[in-house]
Amino acid sequence: MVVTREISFDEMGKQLLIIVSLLAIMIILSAIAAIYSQSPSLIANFATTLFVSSTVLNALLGYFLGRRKVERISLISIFINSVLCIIGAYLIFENVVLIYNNIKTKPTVTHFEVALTVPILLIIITYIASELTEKRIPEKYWRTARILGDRVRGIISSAGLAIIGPTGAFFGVRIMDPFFAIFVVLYAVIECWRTIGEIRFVRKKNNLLQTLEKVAEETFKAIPAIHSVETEYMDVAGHFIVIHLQATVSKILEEEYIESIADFMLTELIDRLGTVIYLRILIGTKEPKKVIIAVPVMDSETVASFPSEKTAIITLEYPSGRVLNKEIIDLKFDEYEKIPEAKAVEKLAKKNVLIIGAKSINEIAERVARHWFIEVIKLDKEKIEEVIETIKQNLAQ
Amino acid sequence: MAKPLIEVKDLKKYFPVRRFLLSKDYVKAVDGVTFTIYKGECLGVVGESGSGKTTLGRTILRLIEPTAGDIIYDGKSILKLKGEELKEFRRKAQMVFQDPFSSLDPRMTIFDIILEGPRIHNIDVGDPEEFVVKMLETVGLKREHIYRYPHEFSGGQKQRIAIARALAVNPEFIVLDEPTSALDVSVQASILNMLKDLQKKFGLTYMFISHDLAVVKYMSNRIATMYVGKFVEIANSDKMFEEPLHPYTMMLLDALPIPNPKITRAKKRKEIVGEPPSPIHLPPGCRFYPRCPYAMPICKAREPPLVEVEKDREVACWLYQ
Repeated sequence: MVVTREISFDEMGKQLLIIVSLLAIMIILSAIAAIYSQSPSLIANFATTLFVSSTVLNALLGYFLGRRKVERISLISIFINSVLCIIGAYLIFENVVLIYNNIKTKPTVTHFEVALTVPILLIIITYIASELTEKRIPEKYWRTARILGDRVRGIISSAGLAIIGPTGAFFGVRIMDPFFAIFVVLYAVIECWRTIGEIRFVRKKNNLLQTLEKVAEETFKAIPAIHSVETEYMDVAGHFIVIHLQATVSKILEEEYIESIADFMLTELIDRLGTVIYLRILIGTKEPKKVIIAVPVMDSETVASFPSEKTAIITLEYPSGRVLNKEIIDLKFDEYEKIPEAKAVEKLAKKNVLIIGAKSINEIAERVARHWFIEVIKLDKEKIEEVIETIKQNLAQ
Repeated sequence: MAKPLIEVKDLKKYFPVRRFLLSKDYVKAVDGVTFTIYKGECLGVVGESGSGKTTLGRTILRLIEPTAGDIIYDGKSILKLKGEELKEFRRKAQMVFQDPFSSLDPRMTIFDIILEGPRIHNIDVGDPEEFVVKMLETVGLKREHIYRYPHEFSGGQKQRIAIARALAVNPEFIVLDEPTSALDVSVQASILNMLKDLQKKFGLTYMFISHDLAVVKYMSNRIATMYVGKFVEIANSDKMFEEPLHPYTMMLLDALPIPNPKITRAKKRKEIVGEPPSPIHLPPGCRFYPRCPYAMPICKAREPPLVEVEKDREVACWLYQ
């Protein structure tokens, strides 16, 4: 049996496609405005749009190529970011020269109908795109949505600055355009620096991989039912992380438990790693080599109800059922512990117990065991040997 | 069993906070609260500062508009009320605020303050002076206070005036938002006793908001524990104190000081560790998970719903589901 969990197309992919479509419109509009008007403000604004588009393209790459485990997404992302940076930087350079000439000579802004309407259109479309990003993408991916939304919103600031110069020129103060273009250029430089930051983010890939392994080791493997967790694929596209994880759980676990484990792993990884754009968890089952069972006991032989102060921890070889180890541990808690039964089960989970076999079990303990993915078998047996025998038979079936 | 007076269904109140220019975040002050208040009872609401208690009280009275959900008062949704119907609801449902120093208009005499409500609602009070004197006497003040200004009174007296003002319009339901937290202990006791007497005398229904558990226990029939915008436990007040079920309620009760040094020394108190999460970006799953001593894997993955675990007892915790 295999259980899969992933960040679905509806949750992320669909929203990214809408944002990219809006971004394409913005790029075309900015280009038209820059070419027609020859306004340095609008040329700088076009550069900003290009810088910003790198983030959205990275997200799109991360999601769609990451789903297919395409090799070296980080390199493709670096290439795209670099191309956009170079084009943008060239535009800024040309623009600086244009601003200098415009200040020295008479500025020549033309096609005011384009120069004044396009920035307003850009502000409206960008606002829609950023709101879509933050509202449509589910709350649990808020850090991914925040990066996208904040970056896209940069175009609003840029277009807002870019409209001032041409407006001044339209009312006869032609010199306003090159002077205000300086501010738009400065803003474009900030956005350029952010895009360079995305290129440099690839250096953190190893740190992220370490965090991922730490989560797998300390959080996932602490659950007795989880045998192994392996990172099948991990890469970054700009600030966004793509992960494919494979895990194996004990074969004796029921499907409902495996589904819960998958949900837990997905939420934990998104919470710990933050800017995840695509995540896929594949959980398979595996025959365990050994099964650890817990049996509450009154003395070393007689079975008690759970929780009991003394509990026998028995390691059985699977599937033969041969007893490999047997020890009796103390589950006593101080009298001020509010829910001792919950703590008792937690203690057993930390000892990798997979099955609790008891005459009867406290209601809370039974629920807590279920939430720690520990199976509870209620047996009307007096002797510990009888309990072990019955569990052996259950396992064999 | 008493009839429900107020039914609150999945009530949400989000406050926008500006991040930068056009970007906004939302503080989820009340985030999906469902409960019922029965006629003649007092429902206590407890929780840490910033848990959304006051916002809940104000939203129920429609002093602030909810973001989502519904509030049914006596069978009618108050969110659909307009004009005269809304005015009538405002008469029936009153609020006593936390700070008596700022809730009374300093430019009005007590006579005007108490008569303001009846005048707005066109209530025939007979002889106005006698009416005001009667209201003042109901809350333990005297005839001689009638033409004084608020600054001439102590904190306890001001709170009594605020209560008299609320009672003047003959309400059915009063939200008491920490009415004694700004007062000293001796005055607190007298105000609480007076509120209890008034509840009996006029058949009032209360929602009592406080962070002082001892006060809430004294006043309430049932208590709801609120944590970062959500109810985590609702129970009969005795049951809640004898055997709290939710780990957060347990921690709140454990933090109560015991006025006996021997017991205090012997008892190893479990203090509430950590800070509540940001109400803007709540953690996935149970919002108490980061501070819970009994946290399990499921707590992080799924948010526990508030379910009835025994008669008249609801808990939102995976330990009981």
